[in-house]
Amino acid sequence: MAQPNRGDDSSHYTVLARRYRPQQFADLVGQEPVARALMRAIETGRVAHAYLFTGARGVGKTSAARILAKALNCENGPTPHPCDRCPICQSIASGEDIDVLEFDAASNRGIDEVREIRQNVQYRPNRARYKIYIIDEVHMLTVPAFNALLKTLEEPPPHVKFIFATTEVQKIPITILSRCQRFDFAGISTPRIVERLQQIVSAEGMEADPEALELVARRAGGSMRDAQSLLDQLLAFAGGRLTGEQVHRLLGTAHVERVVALASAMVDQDAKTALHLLGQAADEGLQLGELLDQLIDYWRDLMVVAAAGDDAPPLTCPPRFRDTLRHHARRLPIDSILAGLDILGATKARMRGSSHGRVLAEMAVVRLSRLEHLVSLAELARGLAEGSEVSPAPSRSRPSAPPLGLLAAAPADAGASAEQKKKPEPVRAVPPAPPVPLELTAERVSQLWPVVLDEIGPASATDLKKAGLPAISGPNALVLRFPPEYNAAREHCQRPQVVSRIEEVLRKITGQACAVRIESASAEGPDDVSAAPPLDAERSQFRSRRWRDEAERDPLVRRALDLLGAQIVRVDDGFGTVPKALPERAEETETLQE
Amino acid sequence: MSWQRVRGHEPLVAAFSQAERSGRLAHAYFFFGPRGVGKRLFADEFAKALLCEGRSAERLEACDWCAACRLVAAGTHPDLVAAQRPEGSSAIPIDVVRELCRHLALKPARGGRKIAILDDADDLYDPVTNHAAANAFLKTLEEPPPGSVLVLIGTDPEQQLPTIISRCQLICFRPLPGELMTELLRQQGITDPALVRRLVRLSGGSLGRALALADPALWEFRRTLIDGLCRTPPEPTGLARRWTQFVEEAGKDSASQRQRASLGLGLVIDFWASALARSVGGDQPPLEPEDESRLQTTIGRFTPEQLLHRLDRCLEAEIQLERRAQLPLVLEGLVDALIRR
Repeated sequence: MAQPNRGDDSSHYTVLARRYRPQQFADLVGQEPVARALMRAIETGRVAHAYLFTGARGVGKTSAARILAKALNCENGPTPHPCDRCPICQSIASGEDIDVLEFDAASNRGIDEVREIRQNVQYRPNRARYKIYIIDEVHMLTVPAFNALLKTLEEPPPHVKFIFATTEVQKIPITILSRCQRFDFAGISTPRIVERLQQIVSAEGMEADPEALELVARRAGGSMRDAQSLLDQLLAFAGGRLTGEQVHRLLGTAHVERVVALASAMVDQDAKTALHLLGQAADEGLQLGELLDQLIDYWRDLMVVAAAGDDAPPLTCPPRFRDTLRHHARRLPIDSILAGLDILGATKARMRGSSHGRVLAEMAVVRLSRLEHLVSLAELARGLAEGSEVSPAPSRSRPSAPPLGLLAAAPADAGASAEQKKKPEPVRAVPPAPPVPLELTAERVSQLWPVVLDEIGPASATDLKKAGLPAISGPNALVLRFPPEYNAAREHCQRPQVVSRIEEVLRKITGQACAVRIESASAEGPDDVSAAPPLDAERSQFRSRRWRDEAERDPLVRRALDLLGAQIVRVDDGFGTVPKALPERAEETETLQE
Repeated sequence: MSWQRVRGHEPLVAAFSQAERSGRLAHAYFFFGPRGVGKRLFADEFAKALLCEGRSAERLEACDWCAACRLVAAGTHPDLVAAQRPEGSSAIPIDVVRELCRHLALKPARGGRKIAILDDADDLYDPVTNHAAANAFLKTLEEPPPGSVLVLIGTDPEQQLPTIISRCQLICFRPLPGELMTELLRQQGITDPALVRRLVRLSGGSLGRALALADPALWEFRRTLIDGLCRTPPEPTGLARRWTQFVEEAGKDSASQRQRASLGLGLVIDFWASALARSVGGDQPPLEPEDESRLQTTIGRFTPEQLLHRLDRCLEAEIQLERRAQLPLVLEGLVDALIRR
């Protein structure tokens, strides 16, 4: 192992990011457009008097400013290729030149400092061609300081050049912006960073696995300095050849195997295993925030594969896991993948600063595991029209299943493992409805009503209890009759928001729309507030019979019945009377059963 | 003594020694990890080792007897400067950072190094002042005078400006493992095995947090709290009142009241999280044996979605506590949301 070069001061190490600062325009990795433009400006003698360099951290702004200063002041210049040998070049590179003044605007941000600059610009440079002010972190100047700079910035003496550098261009006043030539520094692509890291590792006389460098580069998120800081740390902390393993250990990140295993559990909707894996990772000291980032990467890959096929944009998933990735992408509809990404992203944001990171991660895992497989209506309709199977994603009914497993009639939540073995269930459309809508019978109502009350909450339930059990006034219509002594309770329950709340809860529990009417039990007839007009039970039954016949005759419905092995459970009122709404209607009509 | 008093971070000690041996010690480190795992202790020991005048060149370990070591131990070494958020302010003022940078710019008084430690680095983040303190740090952090070492201590790099993080090497402090926690708690005089078990589980590997949780009154209150959450019919006002009362018993000082509220909240979150894990088939044992039946009731009453919703609400309350919302309001709102449907 070669002795590392310790930089200019022999007794102390200088970090890579400083030692490998670019010294020529050609060295600016990933900033070719900027470098070309600046070189061209120097060649043609069209150098402006004020430049503004912006871009993310660690992409080369300060370095470019110093190179430009050298190029302008080099003894052999102005030249696009500063010699790096003359005293001026050397003193600029070490930041000691008397004519290149580097200011830290974050520490000297007041108007007094700017006034000082204004007073000094009038004096000619000591030995070089130009007096160059490099003002770094310029976004931190105060507003009066910016304003004090305006006149000087617009018409400086011919021997003065300003170069501003900042990461936050949106904080610069527009009056400053309009006086500068602005160059936006792009983020650096991962392959370019890897290339540069490889050069550095060789120059340091070390060795590294490509996988390790790839991990470092990706982690840096487009910033060369981030990558170099990390590489520096790896070289310092880990002896010998750099491996992916060492990078993972240093960063507290998980191996891809782990991430894929966790993702598999979630795709299989196996919350238990997923929680177990997560707990294991946390107990071993992995950083949960990092793990979440890795899951976001994986889900992003899923999205890319699902939307554009796996040869489209570059994937972060290593090649040996591509088959699993493709398999997962086939199993999840794209809407589920997008919903998953939303969950992961939101969790990541909430983790920042929370002391309950683990609980947040667990919640995200459970949510992802329980995400219904969403199928868009368009996809469903297209599948029907083409006569192919509509992506038979094994969708397990969960969230919307009636609580307490009370409804024996419905094939709800019959235990996860048993259900997993069954053949794929047919598709359920968005939004997921309970497995089978329940016809309301007197017996079922008496069974359901306590659940409904429970769901509605104590405030309204107390009043509703006064009415006793609701009576059935027609298909999917209930009527609650309050004894006259409970007028106050009745009035409360009659309010539209209460009625609609009851209806909503009923719909959630029974899986179909139910109309609710509140009446006074006295004989003076219905006190009609609710939506549905009272229907004579017999007539309505007759009518729904007619609609059902019509539905059975409908070619689209029949095709759907054949194709999906479905069964007509319910026909909405008015089915088939509006022909152009048919496709959608047909689908509402089917609620499919095994 | 030296590194022996830093417990649970042996890999890091080895890593720094390795860096010193290979001559690749960087000039800026960001220590991060949960509160109360020994980051500051580590930083102090690290500084002492760097400044030590009697150690061998091979080992990064303070000798603890030379003059420099004694000066560090006494807090009077001229080349070591430590700063933190001043008492009573919510962020680090720019002057603290300027002072630190000015100090670093001076030549070392004794040896070849100057060390700066900035604690509470999370509080560099301050949108009110446009992150003035953090920005004032950038140039020094990137190119400090030769021989300087800066150590920033915080909990989470994501709370820093990316420009700060990009200039530092990140050193991650892991939570302390269970056995070590047990041992350390015993050293602090906490020996009751049941209590130790609870603390180990709830502290998330932070000795500081474990010690805060080791308050008998808190565990007494936990029973009331969980009972109140599980009982039917629910009685939100009573429970909220008792919680507020419990919090106010911590004293008049708002910080300790807040801490008590947040400890209670942590217990509730743990309970709901256990219930959630149970309801999706997990089989983690409950925190207390007597919780078993309550967990069962809870799972019977709520679907996993409802449990998730309640956890969301708890985490929201955590944020409210941090933002110093009115305590009784936070607690009342929370209890009401948790109990009602």
